[in-house]
Amino acid sequence: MTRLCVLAESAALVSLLLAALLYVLRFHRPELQGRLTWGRWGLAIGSALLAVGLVSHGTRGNGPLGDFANVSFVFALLLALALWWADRRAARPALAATLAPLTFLVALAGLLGSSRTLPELHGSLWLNAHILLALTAYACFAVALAAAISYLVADQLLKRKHLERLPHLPPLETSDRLGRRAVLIGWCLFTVGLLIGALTVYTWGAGFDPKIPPALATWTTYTVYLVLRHLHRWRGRRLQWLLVLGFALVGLTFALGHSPEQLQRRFF
Amino acid sequence: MTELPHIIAAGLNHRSAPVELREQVAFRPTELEDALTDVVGRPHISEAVILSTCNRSELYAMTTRPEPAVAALGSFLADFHGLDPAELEPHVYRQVDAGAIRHLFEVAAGLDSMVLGEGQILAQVKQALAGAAGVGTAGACLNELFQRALRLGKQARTDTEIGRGAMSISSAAVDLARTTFGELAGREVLVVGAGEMSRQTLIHLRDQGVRSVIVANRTYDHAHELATEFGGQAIRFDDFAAHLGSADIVVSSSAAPHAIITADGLRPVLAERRGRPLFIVDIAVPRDVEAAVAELDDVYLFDIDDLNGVCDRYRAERAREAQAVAHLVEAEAVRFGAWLQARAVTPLVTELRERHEALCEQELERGLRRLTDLTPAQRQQVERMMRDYTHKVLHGPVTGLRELAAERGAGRDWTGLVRRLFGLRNGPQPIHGEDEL
Repeated sequence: MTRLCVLAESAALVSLLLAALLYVLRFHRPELQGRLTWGRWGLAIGSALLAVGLVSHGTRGNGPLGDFANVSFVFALLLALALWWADRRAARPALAATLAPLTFLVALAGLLGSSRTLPELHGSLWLNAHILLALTAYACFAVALAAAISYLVADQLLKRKHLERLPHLPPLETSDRLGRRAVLIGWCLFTVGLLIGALTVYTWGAGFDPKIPPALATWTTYTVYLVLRHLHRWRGRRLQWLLVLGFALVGLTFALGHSPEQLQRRFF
Repeated sequence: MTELPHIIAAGLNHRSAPVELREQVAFRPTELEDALTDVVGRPHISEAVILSTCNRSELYAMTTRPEPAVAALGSFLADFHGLDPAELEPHVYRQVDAGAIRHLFEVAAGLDSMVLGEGQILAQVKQALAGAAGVGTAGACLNELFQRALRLGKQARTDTEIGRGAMSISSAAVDLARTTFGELAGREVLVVGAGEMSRQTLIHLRDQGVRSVIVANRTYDHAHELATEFGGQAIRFDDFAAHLGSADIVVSSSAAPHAIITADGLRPVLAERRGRPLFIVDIAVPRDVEAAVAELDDVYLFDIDDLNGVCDRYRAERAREAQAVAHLVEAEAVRFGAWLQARAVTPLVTELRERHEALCEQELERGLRRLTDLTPAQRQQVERMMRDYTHKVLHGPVTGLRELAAERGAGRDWTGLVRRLFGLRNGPQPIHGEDEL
């Protein structure tokens, strides 16, 4: 079973790497778009193999969120889903060119990162819900990041009059709208996830977790974005940088969650 | 002896004739019916379609005698418009069969247009066919030819990039605005200057669903006139700056000798806008907008050189795509040629069928006279069997005939042989050369 699991995960990584390369190539060489639909297949096969790996882990008693490798794989699967959704919404290669490499990197982190199990997690519905909500929110924030990057790239292309590449990026307004919607959904999920996590930690009486400050900073950043965007009607380039900052904090929070020392301090 | 039909075309276009001559031979919609009736009334012409646009006046016709018919089309153009045939002659091109077919396909695909790949011609080809069908001068062959031309025209624009991108300054401006905003419906447009360029840009913007238009001009009456045409609002020239805060798109083409939109003037407006993108198109010479405006955050400024650059790029892209479209045209011309050749044996096929069906009926009658004990149901069964047998026996030869005709044309040698083999009368003789299409 372990061999099958390693095999599936390795094949998934190769598949996701190929998908990422093809999606990036599709953005840089749009004239090859017709021949590069294999990126979608790579993503689908990689996701399926990741799911096989997840099931193998689950049957060993860790549960789908039972160790940090699995958490990464779930996150990668959610990112693949977000990529599919964003690709359908904007139908431009730029979004996928950001999300596909991110999906690969997260899956790679799962394979190379800690494989320690989280025994307390097994059976704790609330903690499972906390992690799942946070991961789904992260996937939404990743879509917002991809939209923000598309916006910033399009902004620079328009400013520098490099107009030939523009048709491969979503219009500024589309990126802005996609980012806003993704943040709104992600923020709601993240808020609920944070509340559940806080209540669980309080109930268990656990000590200080170094993941909490960046998580709160992430929440604050996206809250500021929503306030500026919705209440003050702010738009434009500067607001997109806030989304980049927000996802940098997401990355930090996620990386801290993968630290083996942190795992030991928190659960053992 | 029945003669077989040929497709012919004659006319003049923007390449062969100057505009002064083209406008003299253009057919007004009200003249079309008379013109079509006149053409089919001429010797040897059985069907006709007239394609008349601002860049071309062309006649497509079916005839059994191509040489005199082509000459008749040329003289018709001169007669109908009251021109001297000698004056018209050097500018008129004439095509027969494959040349005529290929020419129409190139026209429909936009390869023969002044602006390569432009899409308006497709509607005009459709209109030409509808006009001829309305008068009853478009028969089966021309109808099939034009339908195929229309399908090819659509395919050229969907399968290739021949029709992609803006080709004029005004459409390039709107194209760029779409890359910024996506959908333009619901956007507010401020137009400074009420000249022809502003008007052209507004036409393209209206096509994209823009409804909110504000026009400012030094002469208020001109602003009012343009605003009224597009259902917008006219304002005094001095008031235009007050609308910069709410506008999404600014089109500036005033005749001002100096910049009327400056970076310093725009900064306070941008603070009010809170990052909302402002798209400015400056199509005035000298420029209306200070170059430093392009450096401001969330402002996208394009001048006439930028827009010319966009048009040049699209022109080059279309020229590259023309090669792919030419291949489509060639392939479709070959397919239509085969269809036409196969059609040339239709009289022979009809004759073959009639002959066998007559034989079948004759044998049936004779046989049934002897079989007096049959019930009505049994008689019907025998009749059905005989007819089915005849159809099945003929299926192979008929398919073979059509295939042979598509490959080699309805040549006299082999059709004569078929006639002898099947015991047909010495009926219609083809006049097509085998290599004509």
